[in-house]
Amino acid sequence: MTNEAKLKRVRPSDIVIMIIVGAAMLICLVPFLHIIAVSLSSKQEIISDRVTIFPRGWDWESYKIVFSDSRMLRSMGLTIILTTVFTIVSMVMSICAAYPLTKTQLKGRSFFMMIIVFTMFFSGGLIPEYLLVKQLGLLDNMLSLILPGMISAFNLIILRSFFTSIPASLEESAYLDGSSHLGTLIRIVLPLSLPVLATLSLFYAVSRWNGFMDALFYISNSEMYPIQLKLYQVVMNSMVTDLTAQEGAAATDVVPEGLKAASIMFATAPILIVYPWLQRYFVSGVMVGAVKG
Amino acid sequence: MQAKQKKWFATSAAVMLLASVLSACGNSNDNNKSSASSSPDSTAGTSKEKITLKVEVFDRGNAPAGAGPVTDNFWTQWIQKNFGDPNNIKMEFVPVPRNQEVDKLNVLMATGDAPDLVFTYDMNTIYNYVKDGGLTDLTSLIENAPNLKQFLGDEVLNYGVFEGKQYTIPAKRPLQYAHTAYIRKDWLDKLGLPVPTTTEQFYETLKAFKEKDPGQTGGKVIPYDFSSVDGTAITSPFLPVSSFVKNMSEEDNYALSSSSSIPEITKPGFKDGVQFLNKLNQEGLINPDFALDKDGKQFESDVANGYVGAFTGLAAHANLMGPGKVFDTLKQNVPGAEYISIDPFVNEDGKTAKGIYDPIGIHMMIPKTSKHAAEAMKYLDWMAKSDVLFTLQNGIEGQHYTLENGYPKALTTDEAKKTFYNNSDIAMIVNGRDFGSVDKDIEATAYQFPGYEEIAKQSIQNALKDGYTNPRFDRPIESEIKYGTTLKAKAIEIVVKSILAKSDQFSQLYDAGVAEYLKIGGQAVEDERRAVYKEMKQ
Amino acid sequence: MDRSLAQSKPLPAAKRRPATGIWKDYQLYLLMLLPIAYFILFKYIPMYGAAIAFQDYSIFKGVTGSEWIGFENFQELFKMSQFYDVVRNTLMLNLLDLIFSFPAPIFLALLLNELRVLWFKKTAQTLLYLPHFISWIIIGGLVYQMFSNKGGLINNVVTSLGFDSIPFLTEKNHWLFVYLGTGIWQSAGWGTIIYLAALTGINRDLYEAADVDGAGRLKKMWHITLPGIRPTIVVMLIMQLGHIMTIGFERPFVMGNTLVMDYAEVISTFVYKAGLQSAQFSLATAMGLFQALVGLFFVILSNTIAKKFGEQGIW
Repeated sequence: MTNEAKLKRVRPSDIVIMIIVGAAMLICLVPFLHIIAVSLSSKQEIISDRVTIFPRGWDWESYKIVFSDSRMLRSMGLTIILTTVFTIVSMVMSICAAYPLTKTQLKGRSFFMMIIVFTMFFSGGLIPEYLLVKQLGLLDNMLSLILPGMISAFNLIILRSFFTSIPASLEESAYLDGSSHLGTLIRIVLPLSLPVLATLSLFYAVSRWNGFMDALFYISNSEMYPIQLKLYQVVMNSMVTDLTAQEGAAATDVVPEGLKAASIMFATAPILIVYPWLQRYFVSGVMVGAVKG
Repeated sequence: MQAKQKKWFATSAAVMLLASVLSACGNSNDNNKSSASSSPDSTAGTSKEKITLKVEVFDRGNAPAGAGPVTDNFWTQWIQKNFGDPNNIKMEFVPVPRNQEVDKLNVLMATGDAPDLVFTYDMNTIYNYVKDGGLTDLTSLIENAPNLKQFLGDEVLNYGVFEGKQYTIPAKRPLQYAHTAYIRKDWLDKLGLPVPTTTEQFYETLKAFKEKDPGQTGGKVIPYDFSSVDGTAITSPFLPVSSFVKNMSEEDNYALSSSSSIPEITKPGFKDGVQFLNKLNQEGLINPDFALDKDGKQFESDVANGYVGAFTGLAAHANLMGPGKVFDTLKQNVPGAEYISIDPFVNEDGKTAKGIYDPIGIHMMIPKTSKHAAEAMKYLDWMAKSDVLFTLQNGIEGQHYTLENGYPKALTTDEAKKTFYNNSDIAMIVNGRDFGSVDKDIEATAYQFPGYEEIAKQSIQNALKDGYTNPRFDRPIESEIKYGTTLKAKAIEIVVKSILAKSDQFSQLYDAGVAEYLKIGGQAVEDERRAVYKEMKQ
Repeated sequence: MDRSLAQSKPLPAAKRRPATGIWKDYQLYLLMLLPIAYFILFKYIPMYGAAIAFQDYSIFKGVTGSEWIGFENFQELFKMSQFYDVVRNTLMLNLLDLIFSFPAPIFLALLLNELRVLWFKKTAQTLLYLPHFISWIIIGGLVYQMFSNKGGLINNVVTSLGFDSIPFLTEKNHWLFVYLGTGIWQSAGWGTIIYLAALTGINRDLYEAADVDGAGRLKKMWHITLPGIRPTIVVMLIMQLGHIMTIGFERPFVMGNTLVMDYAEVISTFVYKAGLQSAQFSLATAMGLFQALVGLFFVILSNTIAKKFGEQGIW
């Protein structure tokens, strides 16, 4: 049988693999369907615990809260811009740090790596960080959501690890042609690193999109809240059994379960949209045949 | 190479541009705020420089669309107009997210830039502030606030006295009700049973619910339901348990009580109460999974589906009686279903003794770093004026409420809510409705639950009857601050495991648990309490 | 992707760089400038906060004004009766996660790599990472519905078959099983992303050569695929070891309940419940420092071991 034919033939092990993966897909999908269903169900059905995979008592209330409130939409737009800027800035900074750290000729390379790894474990804590942000005049400023978290040591380490796996011969030939470090980085290393760049961009974007704890402390102006913070507020608001729970009329209208579920949809929707688009960067065989030997 | 370089610069320029747009968004707001607060307001008409009074306010993230944020809405403007302007004070409200209020407060205090008026519910935080000398001594200042002093009264103010000095101003809680018992009236009627008036009768009624299943639940009936026992859910099984607690000397009461919802497992008779619950479990009369239901959602769904015969929980609670909530859902699922409030747990004295809340609510404080303590007091004093307080709590007649029998009934239209959504947070000196007498307060509160006024009223009355508050010491108990959380976790663990134990193992499990509890700090707390009590009595 | 990029046009002679030594690499140092500045400014400057662990800290006096008490905070911490329990539980849960949860994404990535039907592969990837976005609070609710004794989905099936209901959530050893299982469910899919990225770097020629040699699927996985992503696995492993003493708050808090506290009380939940975070900063900081030191120790240890085996390590 030719190699071509061998590849096209479906083997029993292929089926087995597809079954295993299919089962995993189902386990991951079904709870998600439940959440979608809850986000679209009416209060009664949710309270009575009758929602399984399909919505019962169709109720768009939770989504109405999100979409018809212009402040929510504005917050969404703000968060999209914030996430985009953050991802770009973080990636640029991470690349700037990771690439030199792969070069053994860099003086103090080990030292730099150690001080970076050190920060993965030790931090000053909430109050010193807050004071710093305040002293830099960044309170109530979107930059407070970009600058302090700009480089993730974890992502940096991964990036550096991937850069080192690029064969030195490729870079060597570029240097021999007179390319500078910067040039090699841009023309050779980066194009060959698309999968990891896509991955880390995704990591940065997701962490920024879903993170809200820093905004909670640094931003007081509710018009600048990232969308997840806004949703978190509304959901958590109804979960605190306050001692002042005597104000009956002030109780929230929408059952938080429905709103919680809608919040999750919010968290996931952008990724569902972005990830398939990113998948095309996970192209295999990028390095095949580049330089042999 | 050139082209790529160009692209690089173009991209980075675009990023810089976007970043600066974003920071400009922030900065413009920042500039507005700072210029408003620091420079004198030349258009005020007076030449004196305006004082800015910064007041903390909870942000629950529930401002309706078009309502304006908690820092600038209908009521902040009303306050500015009616208090700020006449006193040449600029009001500035500092929002603090409700869920992270302690963390955010600590952070604000640490920067030395805290608002002039802050508040919290967390006693540990307050002790910390008192201990570290971070609060202004208000003992003499309160004398300049006659309205406030008269409104709150000495009993309430006493809760804010530490080491002989007034460090906090507690809010007044006119109604101290906590828990009551609810039971399905329609099931009682169906079985021809009377309303239980003793614990024994209650037990018999539960058995009847199980055996005869008047709700036709097909075996899903839960005669007596409660969710996890850590004090955060609206249910509590300790209502029946307190009826088993025996009389004890005043000293013992001081020594064995706890002040932070720690189950009082060392009180005489408490064990019998827990054993009662154990018996109920053995006979299948409770929900055996109660320990898993931490947020009470399963409990709510069981009630709404009509499975629950009786439960003990917070009286007049929005989760039950609010529109579209549990009772409403129950009515839709099971037409004719109806709960009433009862009070059957009688103790050895023939009384239905039960714990109630202290007559206070939130603690208000003025940080030592504040330069406007006098103005802050003035603000609270102004708020304590009866007409001001009434307006702050209820709004403007016709716009936010209508009068029904002289009591304000809130208007729940969207229009009304736009200008009235966080008033309970603004009117911070009182927790609940205050109309001068307990009965009037109950009436007014009941009006907040349209369709359930009767049961709301009944539940509050039952919850207040024979209520007792925790004994209070004139200074914090150190060992309790130290061991409090561990002891609470341990006590809860003992109670839960004892309830679920087999009946022949109950006693041994409970006693061993108590011994362990005393060892890890329970004894130290008890001893200190006794010592402080004796000191107080001299 | 045009692979002939490596043979680009030679630059005009004038642009060829001169000199030797450090200046040849000036660009590298330039690139490092901003990132290092970032680390100094945002990570190292606030680090003075670690001093709180050695002080009787008062937020009003700040770090500069609070009294220094040396190791007293640590002594108090070590004296606490729950300290050893929560440390033990934290280690135990993390170790179990390491053994069961760490390999899961690798295994899954290998499976995904074998898929030939492209639309199936793409859909699988998208669906598998969905659980990562569900917060633990929601998962807690779902777990209750699935695993509770009376009325839980699984136990309904079990009891209808005539067996006793299984105490998934109320007995501590069963609970471990659920804790780990939900952890794998939540993180495995998302974890595959990094390994899938690593897989793209494996030379396809190697597979073709293996085919020629008649190697089966499993042999290829063992000799080509796994070694191909080994550097990534090692890096991820070292980082996970570095977090052996830290544990998130939400997962054990939500999944735990009174009956399984023997296993479920961990450092993060203890710190939260004891209100250390809000009222006893010194103790909380001391605990954090303790966790960090242990983590650092493990990272250094595992990194050294990895290097001895010829791996790259983290530095």
